[in-house]
Amino acid sequence: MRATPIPVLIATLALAVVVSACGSVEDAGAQTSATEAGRDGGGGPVTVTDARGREIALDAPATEVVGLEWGVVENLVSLGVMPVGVADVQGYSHWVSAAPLDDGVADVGIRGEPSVDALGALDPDLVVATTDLPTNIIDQIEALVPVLVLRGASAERPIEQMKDNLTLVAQAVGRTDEAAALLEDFDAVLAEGAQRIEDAGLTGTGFVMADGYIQGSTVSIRMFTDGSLVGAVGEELGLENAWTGEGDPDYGLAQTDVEGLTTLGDVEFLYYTNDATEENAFESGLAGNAIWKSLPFVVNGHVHRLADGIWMFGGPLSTVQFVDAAVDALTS
Amino acid sequence: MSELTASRSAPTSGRAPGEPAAAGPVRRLGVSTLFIAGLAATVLLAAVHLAQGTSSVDAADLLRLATGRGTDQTAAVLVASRLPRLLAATLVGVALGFSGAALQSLARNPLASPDTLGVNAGAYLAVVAAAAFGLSLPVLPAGGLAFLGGLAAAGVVLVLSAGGITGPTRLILAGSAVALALRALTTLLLLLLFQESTTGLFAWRSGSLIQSDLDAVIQMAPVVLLAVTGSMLVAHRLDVLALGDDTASVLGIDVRRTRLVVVLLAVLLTAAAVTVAGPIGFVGLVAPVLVRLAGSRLPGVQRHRVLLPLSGSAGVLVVVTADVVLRIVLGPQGGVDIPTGVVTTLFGSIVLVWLARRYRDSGPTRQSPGTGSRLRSRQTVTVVAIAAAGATRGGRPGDARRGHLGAHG
Repeated sequence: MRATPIPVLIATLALAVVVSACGSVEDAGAQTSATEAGRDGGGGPVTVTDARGREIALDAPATEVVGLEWGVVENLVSLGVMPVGVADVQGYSHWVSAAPLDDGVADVGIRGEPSVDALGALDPDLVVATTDLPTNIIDQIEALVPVLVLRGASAERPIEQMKDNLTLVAQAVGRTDEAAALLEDFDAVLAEGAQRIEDAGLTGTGFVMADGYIQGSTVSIRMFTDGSLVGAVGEELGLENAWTGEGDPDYGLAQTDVEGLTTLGDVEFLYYTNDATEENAFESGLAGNAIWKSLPFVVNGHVHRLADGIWMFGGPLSTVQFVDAAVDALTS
Repeated sequence: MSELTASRSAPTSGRAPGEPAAAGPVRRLGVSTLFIAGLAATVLLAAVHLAQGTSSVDAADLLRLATGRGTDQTAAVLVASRLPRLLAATLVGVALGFSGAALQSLARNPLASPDTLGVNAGAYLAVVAAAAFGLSLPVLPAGGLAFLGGLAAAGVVLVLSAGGITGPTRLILAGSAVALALRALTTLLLLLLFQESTTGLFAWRSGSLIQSDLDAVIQMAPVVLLAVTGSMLVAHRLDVLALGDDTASVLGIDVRRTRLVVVLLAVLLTAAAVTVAGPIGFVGLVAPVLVRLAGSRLPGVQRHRVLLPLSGSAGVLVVVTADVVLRIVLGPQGGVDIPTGVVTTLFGSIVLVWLARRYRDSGPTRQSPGTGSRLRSRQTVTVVAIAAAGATRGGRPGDARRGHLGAHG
């Protein structure tokens, strides 16, 4: 039997280091919970029931809050509670322009895998997460801080879920009046948008909303079904979502390729992308594609790029941005 | 007189090693029948493949187009979606078939493949890593990166298995372990990627043949062609290498250099396939096995000048079949949602289990020439085989080990 050569040990060690360095969810066993009673914030004890059916009892409305999903963060900011920590601050600043963060909001890691250590160091009153986060990570965080878990989205009732989420967050931070005002504004903008569509004689016009992604020579296209938030909002505006395929049960998104777009007639094709983080799948990825060039909505110039930074999975403020952008694009 | 001389000189004439003395018409007929049968099946499946997709364009539309009565839309779908997908399948199948056959011969083990040796995983990790850190690379640099990743993975596997000194089993074990680790890393990077590029959350798929343009296929085709030609040029050396390292050295083959060249070619082929379509798993494992099974009664199949191209066409057959079956079973939408790589990997893992059970005790001492050993023993016509018979039969226990040591010393 040969002895294990040194290079083998080195290679194994190097691999082990790389693998362990990539995990950012550290063991949180050593941390201790430090929720203290009697913080300022106004109001008495609050109890809310979250998406897991769990009751979250707080001695007072939370003021030091961490948001782990951008829709949640937008809700907090729009309610006037600047979070102390946010997952992927830089990504948020690129993708969610409706409710900008103050400087100095701490970054607590990536959305799918936040750093429990960074969370513990912030010592917040409450962490708001969504059911998209794996339960084992939620459990780890919950050992330190109360966690309010929301359902990120529901394809069965997309607009209602967005409203419920805002209201639930508002209850936890004691800002229910602000939430009611935001939702009132949202409904008003939606009604106004529908009116503008009607005035322009566009009611019943077929539309689709999409985004795309390039990898090598492959452009993947993601369609927003009427189970998605903005797909449903489009229907509320009096438009007709021309993408009839089924989406996922939460976000209502469906996958297709460029060939799949041939099933669409001459619709209004809306899409969004983000110059700060990615290549434009439709402009550069499909520019030379024979199918794309033959599509009726491309031939007739009915492709509309919405402004960067409108978060299609956000709260009322982002959705208002979408309504304005979509109505502007169609009526101009 | 001249006839007599010829027949007498035949067994001892100075033929190139590996070149059979009697490539009779029967065998040639058998091999070409196999090749034609495979080609016919591929063409048939390719026709079905072209008629599948997310648009309404079907076989009838394509027939109308062929007879000059088709619409522009049909032509666009054919040119910009269906043909690129078929060409990608062909390129990936050829590349992985050649790569798998070469690696199996090199490791003298039917369990060897770009997948079980970590090459696939390494190449894919490199591409994903670039994407995860926001690099949007053109096709050729991405291919270069995949090559380096695959080479690094192969390097680690060779170091872990001490260059295969202790035999194929350890090589495969090391390869599988490295492949697992690399896949775990890739998953982590994909998590990171989702954060960076939010649209990628649902869009990133692996092992898909869907192409929006021909750039990747066109730029990778020369690379594959080059590596395929290279493989054919060293094919006869692989024939000799199959007899054992000692024998090959005695017969004047530079074992170490041959191994290096073949590894480089196999990694290059795998990297090209990964660049075009992501990790289409286990094609490199299955294709040569299919050829060996189909050709088990055709001794000539074991010659690498036959085995390599047959494996290449078997690779195409496997990839196209997987893609066709995927769309037949799950419909056109399933073809978008489920990567083709999932189908080939499912099929491949079944073959892997079957092989592993069958070759349970394939250590270096018992079966050094791998699958070929039993088949080859029937084929005692080559000069080389006769010359080597004593050495391989008598000296088989441990000869691989000594051969490797010799090659490394």
